[in-house]
Amino acid sequence: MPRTEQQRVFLNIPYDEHFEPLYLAYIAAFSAMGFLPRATLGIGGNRRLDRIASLIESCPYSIHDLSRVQLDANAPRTPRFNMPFELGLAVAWARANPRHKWFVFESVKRRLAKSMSDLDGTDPYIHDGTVRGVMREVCNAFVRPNQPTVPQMMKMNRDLRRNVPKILQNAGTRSLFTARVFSELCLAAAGLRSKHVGTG
Amino acid sequence: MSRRTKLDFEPLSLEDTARELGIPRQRAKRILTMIGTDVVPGPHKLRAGKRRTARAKSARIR
Repeated sequence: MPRTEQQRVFLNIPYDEHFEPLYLAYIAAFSAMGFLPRATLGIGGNRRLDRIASLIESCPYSIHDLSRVQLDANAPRTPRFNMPFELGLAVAWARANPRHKWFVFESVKRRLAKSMSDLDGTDPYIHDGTVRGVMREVCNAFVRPNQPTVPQMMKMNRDLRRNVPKILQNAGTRSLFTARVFSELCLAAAGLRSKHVGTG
Repeated sequence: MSRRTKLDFEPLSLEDTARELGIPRQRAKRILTMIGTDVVPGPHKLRAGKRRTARAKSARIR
């Protein structure tokens, strides 16, 4: 695998306003661990599914947050099926390519057994719907030399949040869920890792 | 059995990170300056401090 692909992690998370604090937390936490986050933001068009599959296949790790199981607020009210669907793509890819590792995150204990019983025997990482919980569970899922601490990750997250208004202003948008904003947040988080954690 | 997955890769440099994310060098520099990171990607990353003035340069030549 090329050197620049080993760090890629596919983030399969909800893109909605209520999830913004955890979205930033995921970017900060995975950047602190030395990962390069990738997401489906900016992928559109009639070949979207092919491009999502290619993105998953280009990442040795994938994170699937299945905490958004409620009906959304807009009519007609529906649950969001994209996250479990993309988890299915990743599981299928991992069966053919065991180097791919997938991880499930949830906010409520034992809910996954009800919402997706096909995953019985898979222990999800429960983040309790909090930023600190995301940091804690990322540290529970991965270990590396020069492991960042949760307080270091929290500091990175605070600094990242502080810079969000400027990043949005420069991108001419109010949404965190655009391709440009996502990539700038990832670079800013990588810079904060080198500042707070070190490069090793 | 541990649930933790061991990572043995090195994080990418900021320059490689910007390249992977498709962020042009000047924009990357602006973002990293904004967050207060001293390391800036690009060929000038090792240059520190003020540019030398023409007077200082000519003084060195002498």
